[in-house]
Amino acid sequence: MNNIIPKEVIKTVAEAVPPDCLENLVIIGSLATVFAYFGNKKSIPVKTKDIDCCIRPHGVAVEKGQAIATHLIDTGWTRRLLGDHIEPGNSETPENELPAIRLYPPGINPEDENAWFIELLVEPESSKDVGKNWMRIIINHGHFGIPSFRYLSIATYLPEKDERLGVYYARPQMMALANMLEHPEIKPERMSTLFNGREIKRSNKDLGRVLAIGYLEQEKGTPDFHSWAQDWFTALYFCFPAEFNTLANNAGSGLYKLINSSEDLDEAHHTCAYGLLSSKSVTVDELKEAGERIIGEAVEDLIKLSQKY
Amino acid sequence: MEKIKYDYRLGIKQETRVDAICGQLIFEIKNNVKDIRLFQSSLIRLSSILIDMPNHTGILILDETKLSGPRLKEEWDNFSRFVKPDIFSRLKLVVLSKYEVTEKIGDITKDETDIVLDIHEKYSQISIEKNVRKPDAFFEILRILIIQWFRGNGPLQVNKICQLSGYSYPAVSSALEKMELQLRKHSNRSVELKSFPQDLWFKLKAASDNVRLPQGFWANKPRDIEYFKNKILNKTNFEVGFGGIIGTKHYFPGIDLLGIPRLDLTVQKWSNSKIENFVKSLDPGLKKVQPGQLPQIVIHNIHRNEPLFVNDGSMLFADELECLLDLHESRLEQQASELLQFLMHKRKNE
Repeated sequence: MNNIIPKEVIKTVAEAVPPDCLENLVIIGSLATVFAYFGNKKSIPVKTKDIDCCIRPHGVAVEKGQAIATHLIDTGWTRRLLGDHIEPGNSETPENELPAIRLYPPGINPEDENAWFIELLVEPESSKDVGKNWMRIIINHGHFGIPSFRYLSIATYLPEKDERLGVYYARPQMMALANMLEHPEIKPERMSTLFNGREIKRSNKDLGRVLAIGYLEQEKGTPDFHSWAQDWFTALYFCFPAEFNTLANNAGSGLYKLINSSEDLDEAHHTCAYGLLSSKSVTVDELKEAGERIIGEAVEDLIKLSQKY
Repeated sequence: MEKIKYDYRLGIKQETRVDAICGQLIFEIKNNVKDIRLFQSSLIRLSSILIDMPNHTGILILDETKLSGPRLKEEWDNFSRFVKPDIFSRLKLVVLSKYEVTEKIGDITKDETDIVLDIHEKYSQISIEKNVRKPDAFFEILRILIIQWFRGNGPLQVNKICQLSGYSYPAVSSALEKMELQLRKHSNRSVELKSFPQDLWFKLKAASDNVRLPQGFWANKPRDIEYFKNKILNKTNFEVGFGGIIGTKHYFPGIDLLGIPRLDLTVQKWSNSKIENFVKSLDPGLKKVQPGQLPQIVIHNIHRNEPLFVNDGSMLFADELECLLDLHESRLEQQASELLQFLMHKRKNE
């Protein structure tokens, strides 16, 4: 797993993306999380290799996606040639077989252990979209795909902005909710690659991220998780007006299952200890406690709030 | 709302008793139902009552059941196949957990829910009275008399001691006999301590752990005591007295105490589930201490009829003796001794 300096990476991305596209890009994932909590510290490294950049709103995604991808490739960013679909597609290629837009910055050797790349994602078109969907982007180099996931609109809801760099990054609590909604239960599917030598269920990795965010929120000095509920409710209400009640009721079920299964919690802990919290010496019990607080405060309040409407 | 009648004998055959009745609503309450057969038999019993009472509705209340919502629903639907629709349509189910309604089957109105919560509260209280071991009458009465002495409130009639302590007249008389030498008796059957009873105080201190049965809670990443304090002050539905260092500072503002390593709270006649619910509402990450762990919050559950809290207009404080015992329990012997001297000195100067 790579060690990168978040501030440097975000600066690189901010300077590389066409200025008129910055408003439409939100950095999400582990980089956004570390930037949110340690943005001003130069020395905090983060172990990640993919920098997820979500284009919003969906209506401008084709135009902005084309502009960003074209500009980056034209300025020396190179494609990551790994995965099932590597070659650019054409008009005959089905959307779900198009290669994703994953680009290394100029001068980075993909073989380098600290190499990182950006991946473009897009907000879903409608609240009714389920699962993973692909949007076609046509540029001079061929046809590419940008994936969208159902709850990306939650992750990118009212993001923070770093005024100096002009970059938007997702609020940690919104990424936490997106992950919780994505995993109402612990699914058996495992990640395609080993996580620091261990096979990990995708659900445990994503819900482990929720625990890591909770842990970092406590470290930041936030007294409790009650305020998350209002943020969550607002996002659910606006992003999923027809379903916010059901989603609110089920939001905590996967996390609850995770912290009550020692095997799954151990996997989640592994992903935190070798990922976002690698500098923290966090214990399993501390992560569980963060989960108990998120459920007992944010989730419970969210359910109560949603019942009022 | 009509008055709720508890443990009510119905005027039907076999002189059936029900847990509560309110107008045309009949209630049965079951605690900790783990076995589906108990749920089934409760439904059958309630249905058979409804056969004889055609204008009534039966509400079954399950408190802290281990049976899941879907499992209960499945059994409920099964049951509907065996009962006449006229009876089944008058059956309802309410599930409670941690003093809140978590599940409802049947069309339960807001008024009905309120009645269910009242009945639940009543039965929780009865359960506490039955199950909680009351401290020795001698120590409880001694505590009341010492508090009375600290406060300079003068003699107490024996009847009043019965009322404050919740013990019977014979139990109180017997306890008073044992401390006769320390007492000043008055003609109107009232008594007071002659002075601070040092010997009895040592006995009380030595027996403190068994008399008080404190419940300690801790977290890996503890929250600020000040945070807990403010949260408790914002809770209107829990009557809690601040003891320990906070209470001590109320009675003796000049005491040499810096920082608050643990929060001592006194509550009156709470069930274990109410204590747990309260603690979780302060911090869902808190758990009971295991041997060797230092608690961040300690709950002292007193069982007398009157909590004897002191209200300064903004918050409640545990009585002086609770604070003293809290300091001893926290190994703050020096400060406990200072507080005792202060309270005795204050009393002498009154």
